Amino acid sequence: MSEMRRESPEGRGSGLEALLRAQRAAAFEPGFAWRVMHRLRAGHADPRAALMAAVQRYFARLAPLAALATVVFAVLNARAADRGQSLVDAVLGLPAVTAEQAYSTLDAPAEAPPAPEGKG
Amino acid sequence: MPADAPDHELMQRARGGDERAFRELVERYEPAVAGVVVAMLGPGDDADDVGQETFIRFYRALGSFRGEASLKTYLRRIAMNLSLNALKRRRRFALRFLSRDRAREPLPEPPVVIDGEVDRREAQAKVRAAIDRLGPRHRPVVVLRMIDGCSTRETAEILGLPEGTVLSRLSRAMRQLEDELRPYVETGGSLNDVEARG
Repeated sequence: MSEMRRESPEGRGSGLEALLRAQRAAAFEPGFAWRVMHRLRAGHADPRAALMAAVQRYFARLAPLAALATVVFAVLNARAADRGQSLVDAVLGLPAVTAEQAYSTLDAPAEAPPAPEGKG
Repeated sequence: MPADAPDHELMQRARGGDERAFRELVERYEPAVAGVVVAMLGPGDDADDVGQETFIRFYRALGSFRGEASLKTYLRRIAMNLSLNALKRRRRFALRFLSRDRAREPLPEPPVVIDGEVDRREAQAKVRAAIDRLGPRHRPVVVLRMIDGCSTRETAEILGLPEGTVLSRLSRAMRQLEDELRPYVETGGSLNDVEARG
């Protein structure tokens, strides 16, 4: 308080000054320093660190799901290779097409266009 | 670590990652920050949050603090700016979500007098309400100069205003407070702590 100097502002009555001074708070609720340090440790001090921490939290939640999805697709692909038809094709009811069949359609002669109707 | 280590030594250690040194600074300057924030916003979670944010900002600025102003003045300036931002948020919220009827001023009532003395809690609540009614230009001046006990020069330095402006704003604010708190000011010399009497 040594550097604070109280000057009588504009000669106001001491009653009002006393009422105002009674509003002064000397401290926050108990444990204030602990709360500040807790926030600092939680990464609030550095916005970049806070962003990285948030990304890592979301990644940690998504990583097991992504790993599970990878395993499921790998198994389905392996089974589809045995059957000769992918799971999606089977679900949609599409016929299995081999490479030989695909090339044979390319070699087939093109169909002749329909003959124009007579003018009568 | 000695309890009376100078600020610059504690800041040096805090820059190097010494948590205990920074905690010591927080404990040392909590009263200075609380004096500003609680007087600006009133006691409660809002004030506590702004107080914490003040020290978080200080921590981030540890590397760039050059000591041109005293640490107490520097922290009070951060606290004041954050308090003013919090008040703006409050006003926006009040304008959007509160009915105009609720914002209407209550009719003035005479103070409760017991044995010729005013109930301290009631008087403090009225003073708080009167401070809350001060505009954003006048409230910081009253808080720093009259409640926190800063000199006119310190108040001007914290607010970045000329001393003359501080004095004129203070004069106008004090007139308003005097008008609103007249019944309490007249009996102000004999405030009675009803709580203490039980």
